[in-house]
Amino acid sequence: MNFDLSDSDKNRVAAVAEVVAGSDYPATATAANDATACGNVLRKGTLLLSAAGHLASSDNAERAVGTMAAMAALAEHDAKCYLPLEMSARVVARFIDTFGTADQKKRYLAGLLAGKTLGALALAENTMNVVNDPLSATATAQGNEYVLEGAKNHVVNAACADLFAVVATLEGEPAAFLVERETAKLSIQAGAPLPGGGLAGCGSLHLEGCSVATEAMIRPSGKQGLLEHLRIWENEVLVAGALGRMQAALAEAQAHAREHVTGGKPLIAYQEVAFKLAEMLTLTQTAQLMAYKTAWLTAAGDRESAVFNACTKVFCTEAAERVSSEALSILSARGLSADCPAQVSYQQVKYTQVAGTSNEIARVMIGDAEM
Amino acid sequence: MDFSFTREQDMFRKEVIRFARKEIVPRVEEHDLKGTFDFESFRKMGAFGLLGLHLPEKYGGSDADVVTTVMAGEALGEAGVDGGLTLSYGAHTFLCADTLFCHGTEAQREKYLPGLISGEQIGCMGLTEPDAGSDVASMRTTAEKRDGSYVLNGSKIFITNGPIADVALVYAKTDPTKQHEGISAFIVEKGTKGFSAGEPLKKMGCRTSTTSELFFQDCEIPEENLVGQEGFGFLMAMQTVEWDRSALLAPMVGAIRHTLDKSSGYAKKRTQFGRPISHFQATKHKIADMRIFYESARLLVYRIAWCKEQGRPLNHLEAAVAKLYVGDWSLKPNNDAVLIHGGYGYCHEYGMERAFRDGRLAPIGGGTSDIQKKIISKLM
Repeated sequence: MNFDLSDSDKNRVAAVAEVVAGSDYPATATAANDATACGNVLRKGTLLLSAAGHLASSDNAERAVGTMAAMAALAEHDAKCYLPLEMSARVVARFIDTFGTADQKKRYLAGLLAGKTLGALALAENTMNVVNDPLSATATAQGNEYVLEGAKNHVVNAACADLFAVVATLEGEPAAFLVERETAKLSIQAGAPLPGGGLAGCGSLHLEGCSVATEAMIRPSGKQGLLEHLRIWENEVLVAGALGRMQAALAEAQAHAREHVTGGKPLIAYQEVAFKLAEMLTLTQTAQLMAYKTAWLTAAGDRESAVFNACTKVFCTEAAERVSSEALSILSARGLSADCPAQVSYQQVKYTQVAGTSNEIARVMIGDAEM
Repeated sequence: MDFSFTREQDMFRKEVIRFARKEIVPRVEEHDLKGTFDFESFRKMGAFGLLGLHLPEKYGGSDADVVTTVMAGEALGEAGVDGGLTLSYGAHTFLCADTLFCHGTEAQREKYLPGLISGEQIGCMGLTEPDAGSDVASMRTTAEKRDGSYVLNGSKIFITNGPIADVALVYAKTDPTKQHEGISAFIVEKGTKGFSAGEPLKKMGCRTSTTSELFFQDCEIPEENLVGQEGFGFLMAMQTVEWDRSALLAPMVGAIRHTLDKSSGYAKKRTQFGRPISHFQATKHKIADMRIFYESARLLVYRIAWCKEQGRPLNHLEAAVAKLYVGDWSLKPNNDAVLIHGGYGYCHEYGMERAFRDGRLAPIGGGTSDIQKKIISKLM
């Protein structure tokens, strides 16, 4: 047992903060409504973070904890890039790294990790969940190709991704297909930006007889299915995102409570404010431990990892909403400005609850596992 | 980071659960209804080695590490041991025996620890007073030094094990002009002239743990009953905080696992509208929330245990965070357990109303939630 982040983990967290604060790190302000500009920002950000070691694979439990902490640090310091960047370089790259063929890895992995290629996971369809509603997108083998039919919605990075991991049903079982942006009969709609001003738009894909080579297919074997793996990894990104935003909201509220003087004394001298901060810190520290443990269990292949991941998803994303909300109460008028970190957190964390395994479905999964 | 327990720790946990289910749990309901302390179970806990688990073998203990010791408390709760007995165990072992071990003289250790560890003697700690709860420095009980002895005057309240204790570790002011620095600790044995315990208080929960006032009226004790040095009593009391926030919170976390298991089992058997209530989403959501609380609280409790194991000095922030979280956030899962059981949850036989009553102490005992918030905000 050991509850300390290692020095190496702490260095990774510090490295992320340093990269984001550096003068080379791309500014995001003008990119929000421009897919090309968004893509360029994400590519450069990926390259810089990759060079700092942020995107190296988390192939053991100890390293996975450091990865989670570093991901949270990225969400804390760069709310706009975090989700699209991690969905590309973490989820899609991790998927290919874990289950892809040698050719697929050779073709895509280095590009994804260096920011030359932006990835997007095309999993959700009409609703964001893929638990209650079976996948309707299909893949049919035709000679040396698979023909994809169907629509994918709520695809983060749809507007600027170069590569899509499209999940469809093949002979009754889910499989993923690596589909490049320029593939014929693939049409893309950019979609609206997510709340909180992130660079990620949630767009949609329409596949109408879209053919890909058989070599583009990925179907993992093993006890955990493809959907379960993808959901767990996606949930980890959402958990770290919620944790990072919680940390940002707490830090801002704490600083404000110390600096802002009202009635002749700093805000923190008022018991109600101090007690709010105490609860926020309690939730944040608890969320950190949950997030670190879920990363640790997943990397260790623990049999409880899926249930614990669901527990963590619910806890962290709901705690993040509460912490952000309390931060806004403490910040008062200052919290109303659009670029206030706590307000960004408040707007972004709702997405972390409904995306991935929605918290309602996560609770059902946990309940089913217990009963 | 590493969240794993050793194989030995896992095995020990299972052993404690087996022991408690066989030797203690069958009498829990009877004693809770009567509001009486279960001496038989307590002595069996001593014989099993739980009362001095972390203390040295030379006094009858087992030299166990902190995490294993905390795990034993969690296992008691998980087995279904009530909050009263685990509270008595905590006050006896950590607030009394551990303080004697950490700060007592060798003579004091040899005289008291073997009996406390075996369970033949019961210990308590007398700190809280009617007007000095969280505000310890306001205590009025005094200990005046006179010709080779101390004379104690004053009273204590809400003392766990008060009516049954053979050995009381009592805090009193040796210098009433000072605040915390004026507080010292003393051993007062049952039967000492001028020392008496009040009638057991009638409590909402933890009813098998007897609680009372302690009265000191010109109570004269030998000067060798001073524990540690004069004026260091407050520091000694504060050093029990880590045990208080780990070993005493652990049974509460274990108890949530117990109510979760009972609730899951009940929900699978209870049929309404033609199907088990476990099939209803509202039930699943309650069960999920209980599990989420259990997992999160467990991490905080073991974190403080691990910090203590590392020998880090006074982990106040970690301790207060754990206490606040377990105290305030445990109310909902305990409430949900009653709700899942419906009418049966309100009745004694299913144990949920007892767990609900016992759990209500969590945000009050050993430092209220408001005090934890005060500590946390000061340390932020």
